[in-house]
Amino acid sequence: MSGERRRATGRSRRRGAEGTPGPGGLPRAGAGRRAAGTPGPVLRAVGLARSFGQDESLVWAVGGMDLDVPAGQTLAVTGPSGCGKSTLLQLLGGLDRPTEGEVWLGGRRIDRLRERALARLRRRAVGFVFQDFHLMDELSAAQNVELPALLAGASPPAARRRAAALLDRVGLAARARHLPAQLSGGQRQRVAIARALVNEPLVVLADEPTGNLDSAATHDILRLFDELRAAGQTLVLVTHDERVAATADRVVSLRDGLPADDTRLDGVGNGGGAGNLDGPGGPDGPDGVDGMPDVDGGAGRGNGAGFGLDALLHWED
Amino acid sequence: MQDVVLALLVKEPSHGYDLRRRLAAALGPLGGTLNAGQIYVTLTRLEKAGLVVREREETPVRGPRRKVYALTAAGRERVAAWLAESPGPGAEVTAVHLKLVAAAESGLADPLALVDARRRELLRSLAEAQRAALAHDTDSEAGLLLEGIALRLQADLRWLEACRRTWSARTPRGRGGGDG
Repeated sequence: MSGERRRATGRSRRRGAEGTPGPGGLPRAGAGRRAAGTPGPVLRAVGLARSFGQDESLVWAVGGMDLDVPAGQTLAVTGPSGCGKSTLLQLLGGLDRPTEGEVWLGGRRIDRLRERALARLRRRAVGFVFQDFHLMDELSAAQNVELPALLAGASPPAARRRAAALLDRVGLAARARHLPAQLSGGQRQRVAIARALVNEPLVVLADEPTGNLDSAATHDILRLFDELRAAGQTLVLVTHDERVAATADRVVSLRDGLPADDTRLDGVGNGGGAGNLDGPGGPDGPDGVDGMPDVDGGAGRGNGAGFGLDALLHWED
Repeated sequence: MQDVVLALLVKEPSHGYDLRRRLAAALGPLGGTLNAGQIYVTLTRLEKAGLVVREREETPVRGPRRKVYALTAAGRERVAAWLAESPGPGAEVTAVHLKLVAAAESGLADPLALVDARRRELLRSLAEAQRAALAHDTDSEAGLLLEGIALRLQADLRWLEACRRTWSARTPRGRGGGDG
């Protein structure tokens, strides 16, 4: 069925800005890991659970989740507010500790690390991107990007070089000396993404990264994420925006702290089996309900076939 | 509309007036223009196609006799096939809504399963639209079209979330799933 798709549209594996593979550019380690196809997920959660409150007011924000994020995957976690998606991200990034279960990052269990070791690991191995940017107001864009590199032990010249390359990468080379207040929301978020990348993290965790942005700025950020993905960066996005989620390789929907659905999107637009139009049963389907799409989340392959965009064109003449 | 009418007959035979009432309840103000005449036209066509049979004439306590229609095996097969068929990416809200209602009313499919399947389909369409959109300038003509398509799919997905909430609150009596 893949042969029938003529256009290889969709996901561009191109690097957006050619000629900027500089030293501090995109994570080399990430690309290497992906090419080597190292087994084992970058990020793994086992029976992960987090409760708040006690007794009658006890609430399970995350209710016992297993999750594997392989190297190079962009995972989107969606769901209504209060479904536990932000808590999940905090647990995965070591910003919060689980009530039960385990978190593994780069093959290492992190949920039991002591605070100092955890902080060190976070700094080096995790890049965070937040909805409201979390930039230091009194520091320039470049200084904001340099800071985590310096904290992780990079020399000032090395930190400067990396920050310059990353700001160039996110299209803000000309704004390096601007303070956050002098930048638009979209520009600030691009600075925050550059900052998240400065220590070449194993994974970037983004919590509603486009939540405060207009559609044009959202478009820029999504393009940037797409370039990161093309470069092999592992990325976990928490979002309530279906359009943001749809740019991921995989979408996990949470309800009440548990995954309610897990949809793979990595074949879409690549001729990889998505977009074939023969839906279940076809026009004059076979007898009976056996062809019913079944609920089972898991695979989502057989019945999850989407519609090609061409199905939206009704050409009549 | 033929398929919806068939679906309403799965559980038990019924007459046009009752079918109209149930359709009107599902359609709210959109069903305001439905009249019994239209339903009978549809029923007559279905009868000619061998999908329903006029079973017997019910004698009510008062009022006119009503023609009661029952589903044939072929009619049942057709409903099942229709329910199993995806409504397609551009399907109107009303069409999807009626299918969910029909699934619940007939017991031949689980509305929640249909919601989930459609959600996955639309998500994949949206993924394709979004990826194409990222490859185009927002202010190009193609980019503008893709923006419209993505917004529309997003709206459909949000509505499906509402469907999921309502239908899951409403179907404690177990999944239809198999054979009603």
